[in-house]
Amino acid sequence: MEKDKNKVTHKQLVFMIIQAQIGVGILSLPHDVALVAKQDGWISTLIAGAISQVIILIIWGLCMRFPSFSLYQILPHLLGKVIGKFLTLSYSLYFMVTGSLVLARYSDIIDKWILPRTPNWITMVLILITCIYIVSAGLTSIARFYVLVSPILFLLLVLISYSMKDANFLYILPIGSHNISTILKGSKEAAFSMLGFELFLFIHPFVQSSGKNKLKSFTTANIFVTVFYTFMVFASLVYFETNADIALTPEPLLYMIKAYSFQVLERTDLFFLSLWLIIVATSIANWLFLSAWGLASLGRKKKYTAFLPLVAGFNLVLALVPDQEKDFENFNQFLGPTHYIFIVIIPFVLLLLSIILSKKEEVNKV
Amino acid sequence: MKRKLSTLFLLCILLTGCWDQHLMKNAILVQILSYDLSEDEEFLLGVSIPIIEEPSGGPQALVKSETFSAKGLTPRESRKKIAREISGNLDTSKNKLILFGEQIAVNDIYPTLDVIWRDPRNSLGATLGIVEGRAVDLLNIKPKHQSNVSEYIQDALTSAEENTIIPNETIQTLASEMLDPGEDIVLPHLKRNDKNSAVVVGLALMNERKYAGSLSPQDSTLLLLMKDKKGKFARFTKKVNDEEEFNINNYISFNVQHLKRKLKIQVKNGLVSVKLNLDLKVNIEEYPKGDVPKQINRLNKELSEELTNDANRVIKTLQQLNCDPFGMGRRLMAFHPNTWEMLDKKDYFKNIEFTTNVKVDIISHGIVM
Repeated sequence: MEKDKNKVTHKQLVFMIIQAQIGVGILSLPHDVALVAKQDGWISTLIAGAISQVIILIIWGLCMRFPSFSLYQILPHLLGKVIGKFLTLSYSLYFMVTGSLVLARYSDIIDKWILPRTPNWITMVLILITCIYIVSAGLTSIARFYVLVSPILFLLLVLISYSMKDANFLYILPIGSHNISTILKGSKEAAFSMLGFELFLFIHPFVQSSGKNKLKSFTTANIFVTVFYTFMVFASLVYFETNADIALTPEPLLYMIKAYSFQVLERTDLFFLSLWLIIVATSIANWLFLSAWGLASLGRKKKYTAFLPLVAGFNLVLALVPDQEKDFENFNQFLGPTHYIFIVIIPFVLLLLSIILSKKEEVNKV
Repeated sequence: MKRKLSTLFLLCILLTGCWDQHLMKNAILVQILSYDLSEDEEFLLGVSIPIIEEPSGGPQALVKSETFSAKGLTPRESRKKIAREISGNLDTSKNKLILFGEQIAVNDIYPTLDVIWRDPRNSLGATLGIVEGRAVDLLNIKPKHQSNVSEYIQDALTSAEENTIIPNETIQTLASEMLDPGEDIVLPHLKRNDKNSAVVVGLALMNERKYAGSLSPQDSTLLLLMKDKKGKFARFTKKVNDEEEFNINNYISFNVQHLKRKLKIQVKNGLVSVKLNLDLKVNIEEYPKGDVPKQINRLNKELSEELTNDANRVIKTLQQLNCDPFGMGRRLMAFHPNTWEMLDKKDYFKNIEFTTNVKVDIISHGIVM
């Protein structure tokens, strides 16, 4: 990608990471965490944030050794052309599959909550068209769009805070009654919703800022997301009885606000969902972008936009496959270990390799 | 220009949303649902729908209501039967009230509510209530001053809410309490009067998901005060004199202005004891005998004693019916989890020792002495 055309400031970086991290998972996160860790779910979420921070440090460390290379350039540089290309392709596919899963879960929720009679492929196609449009405009525009839509997160926060008037804070007690391993198991569930920060691996060369500032932005984003998620989980845990009730509601946050109607607004959940839609669109756009970029960097062709329809088409086909809850579980189970490999293990190995081989990008200041 | 036109064309096709239309003109909005068990143990569903009559002479349209009912196996099945009777789509998304007949409530109220939670289009803002006798009979009343039954019952409930006779709860806020083993719910208790009107006769006490018994309006108010859930007004009328010949002179009426509740739960040797202290600041609203300031100490003392006795009686009733509206079990789970493990999860409430104390303080007495 051309560099001077795609500048991003470190403030924009904060919002890009936030938007990448917060996505489709937010609705079901409290349910998933509470199934395992019950009323200590919020601790699990905090721990998941801490774990992400460690991964973030690894990713940052790797990126600092190659300040102007994105991961797609680091891979062939460190591992040679063949393995590098192979891994680039794997990354592309991984992002494609992840994107498809997000797309499928998005349309599943839309289907269940708002548009039961509209065929799923319609909602998918609509959001994909929007995402292609966002992504094809280039990194600077993507960043600007992400900043623009971020206030929505505060609106979601306000809506959830409102429902706290009917909360029963006794549900959260006793704190820490579950042992560490249960809480950590809960963290594993929460960690999947934290994913998205791997975006930094790819966009860091375009951020116009020093390495230290980049880390600051990166960490700010992660802290924000962790606090945001923890609040959401906490809110659902004090709203729903933590043993039976929350286990019965797969999307607790939606349920919480569904009960309230304001003067001119009934079915507040529909309002919430239409805002949430944008948050999902940014994360789908994200994976679309990374995947298309990966494919583009395989060949000589420099422009990634040509690959967008291809990736989107793949996403659509793959997202249409699961049509039962069981399929989603299988899908998730398949993706579980893959996440670790691509987000944690490969960057870590690359970091180690670059230290051992003392390979580093020559920084020649002009 | 061409591009703009094609975009416009695409928008027209893509943004119409033809599949999930719910047109108001086809919808018949249900305002009250009633659940009953008929004599032959079949499920009986009743719906009250508004009927808007064309304005004749006056500027405002008259809203009346009509009631339909059908027997069936489940709420959904009965609804299907009613839908065949009605022209238009039966739509429960604006439902405001769900009433249970006594017969079905003593069995279990939870199963019939499943459909409300499961279908995303249903309103979770609806209130629940239990009706003495059959609930569907309450929908068939013809109130004189209000032609729409649903409005009428809702107004009655709202005023009872303001007067701290029933709590302000919806089906969603009740869900967690219903599923919580450490807490029981209380619901508005309604009754059909002979005169074709409905009255709120206090609270229906639930044992887990079953209707167990009821409280009088005055006791309901006291219970809600003990739950620290005061509405706008909380009025009591008590006898404080004996010697007056004309009976009205023996009574005093007051309204609770400020309420302070202290609740302390203690565990000693596996025995749970609860200290419940109510501190009421009251305003005298009616005292025909007059001259409150002179008797203020005596009145404070006597009212405190009476309300303490009442509170003890209410708690005794609750314990007999095994209804724990305070969520004592939840508190035990939260603060004494080890004790909770050892307790009988069903009958724990019966064995809690209560020490209740109500302190009444007269702070004002209107604009006369």
